[in-house]
Amino acid sequence: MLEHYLSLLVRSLFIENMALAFFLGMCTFLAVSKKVTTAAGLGAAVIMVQMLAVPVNNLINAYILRPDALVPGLDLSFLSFITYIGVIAALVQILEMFLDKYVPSLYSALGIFLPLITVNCVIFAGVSFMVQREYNFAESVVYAFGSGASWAIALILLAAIRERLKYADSPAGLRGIGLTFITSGLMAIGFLCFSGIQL
Amino acid sequence: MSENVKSPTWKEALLDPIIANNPIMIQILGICSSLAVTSSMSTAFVMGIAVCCVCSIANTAVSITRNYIPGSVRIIAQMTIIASLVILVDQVLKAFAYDLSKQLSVYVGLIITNCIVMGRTEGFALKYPPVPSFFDGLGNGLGYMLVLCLVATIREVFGSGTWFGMTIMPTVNNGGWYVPCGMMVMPPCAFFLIGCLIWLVKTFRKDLQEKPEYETHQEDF
Amino acid sequence: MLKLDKNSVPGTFVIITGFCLVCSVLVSSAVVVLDPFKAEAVANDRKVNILRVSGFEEQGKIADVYAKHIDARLIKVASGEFADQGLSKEEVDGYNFASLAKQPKTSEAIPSDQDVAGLRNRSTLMPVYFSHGDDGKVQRVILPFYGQALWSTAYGYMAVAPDGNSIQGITFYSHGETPGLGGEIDNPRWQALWVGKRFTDEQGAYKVRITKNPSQKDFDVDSLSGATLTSRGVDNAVHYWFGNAYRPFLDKLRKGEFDLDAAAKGESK
Repeated sequence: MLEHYLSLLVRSLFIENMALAFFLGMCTFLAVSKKVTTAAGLGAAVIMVQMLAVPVNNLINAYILRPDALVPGLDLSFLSFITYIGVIAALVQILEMFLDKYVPSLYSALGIFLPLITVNCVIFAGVSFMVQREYNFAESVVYAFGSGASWAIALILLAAIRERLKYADSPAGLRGIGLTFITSGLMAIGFLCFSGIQL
Repeated sequence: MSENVKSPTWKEALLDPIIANNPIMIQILGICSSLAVTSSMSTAFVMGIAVCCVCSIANTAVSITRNYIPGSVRIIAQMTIIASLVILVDQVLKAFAYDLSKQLSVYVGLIITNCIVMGRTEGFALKYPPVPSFFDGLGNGLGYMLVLCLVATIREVFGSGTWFGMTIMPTVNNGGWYVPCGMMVMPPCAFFLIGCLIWLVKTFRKDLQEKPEYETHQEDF
Repeated sequence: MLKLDKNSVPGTFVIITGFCLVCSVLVSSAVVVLDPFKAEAVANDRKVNILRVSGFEEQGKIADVYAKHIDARLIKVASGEFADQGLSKEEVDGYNFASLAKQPKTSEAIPSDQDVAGLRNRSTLMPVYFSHGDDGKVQRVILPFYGQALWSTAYGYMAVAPDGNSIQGITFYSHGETPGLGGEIDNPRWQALWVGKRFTDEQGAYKVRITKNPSQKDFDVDSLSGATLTSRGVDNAVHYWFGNAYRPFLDKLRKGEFDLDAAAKGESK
């Protein structure tokens, strides 16, 4: 059993890397990767929200939205998108208020990133994949951590590369965002070597 | 979410984001889906149309209700509108284009978190009346679709030898002569293509070029 | 007309409630209106794929051809016996084995030594489709199968001859493989390679496989170039379903244990 969760974790971390295998959360991935420290902050915030949002949505899906879950014969699965995004937005707001009140040090480190996360598709996609693959609750917790961390790892790696790249003498048109695209492409090719690993 | 349109007539609102202020190439918004759905023309085209619809209608709806939306919950209110529209699009696709909806899978749902839609409702529709808002949404959707189709054309023609599923260059697998470029159908290729497109655009538009960082010592994120 | 400050707390509540009401009415009515179309699209997709492997693809309106040539039954996978008493024709026809495989009540765990396709669980019952010509004689038996390929689970149908051993067609109706590489499992030319292959040799040993160097004419299917891992996934899926899971049912076919034409019509147990 443990083996199963371990393989799910490794799978979601490397083989199905959210940023470099599925290309999710790209807008923030490209925009907030200039410095390793900020990248680490955002990465931590994403892992945190992911670990809340995926399991909570898993429960909502299992006990409310799934066909026959609430009342036999009632299929609410068409409400899935709106419920998930609502839950994510609400969780982010609650987390923000909670951190502000009880863990101010963490809030000052993560605070500016939290509102950004509502519209980060990593969270939404994590929830969607979880539903599509019909994970149970325990699997959803493991998957939430794995997928959140996979995005954070990729973000920090890219930020580290970009910190070095700013001293490179690249063509004027390519400087900045153009070069970031190409760097991410090369990283994605690197991550392709994980694909197909059977666990 | 830059505000570039100062006195938007419907024509400006429509045309500006297609070329001059393209959401993908210039504003760097909505990248996720542009990477994931561009391996074939049909998925890219349908995705483009879906974003056009969602973006223009969401913009109109937000603009009509902009004087009633309370500031404290405006993000959630916009999300509700966008999510409802995306559900509509998803249902329509499932009912009338089942094959395509299978291929697009979760990416239809991801329109909700596509920053183009959110960026336009937040940055434009909340400030301007419905008519320019509609055209601004449509223009951004079209600008998105243009880049999507461009990338998808390159990837599908060179990667599979087809365009919209029609054979352009018969591949070796099908008894033809063209050995498909495997690189093109791999997802990372979309990064290179968009990166090169941005390079091309910035070469001609010097005003958009970024300053080298090690001279200016700018500390930002 | 009630006057409300939009930024006050009650104002916020009233406006947001109104918003939600309008949106929910819109979404719900759209879903209700589109539901029959959606159900038809799903059923149609299944029918098209079943007809494709049964060889009746382009002969007029799909629903009509399907009704005329295809019969569906459920089998108990473990024993290979028919088990669709008490279910309507539509329920059998659209039996959703993929989601039932996830529910403890309707599924069985696959022993790990057999689980080459990485599925862990499968539905206790599986649908089987029989295609017959105008004379009512069963020509092909169509069995659904699925397994983990490279990026996704690939779902397909395999058409088997009434002898329970010869492959007459293969198709995939859902997968997320890279177009042009693993996605070539959809290529009719590759699917045609399967036709005429046999699952087992005379001694009953499972032999069919996907390989880079096909040497045995009756058993080897050439793998897809550039898609080694997808090929391996499909190979494993076929191995699990036709080498293990469906074995009891296929053995019954092989031995001619039931009158196929009557079974297809639901007349035998």
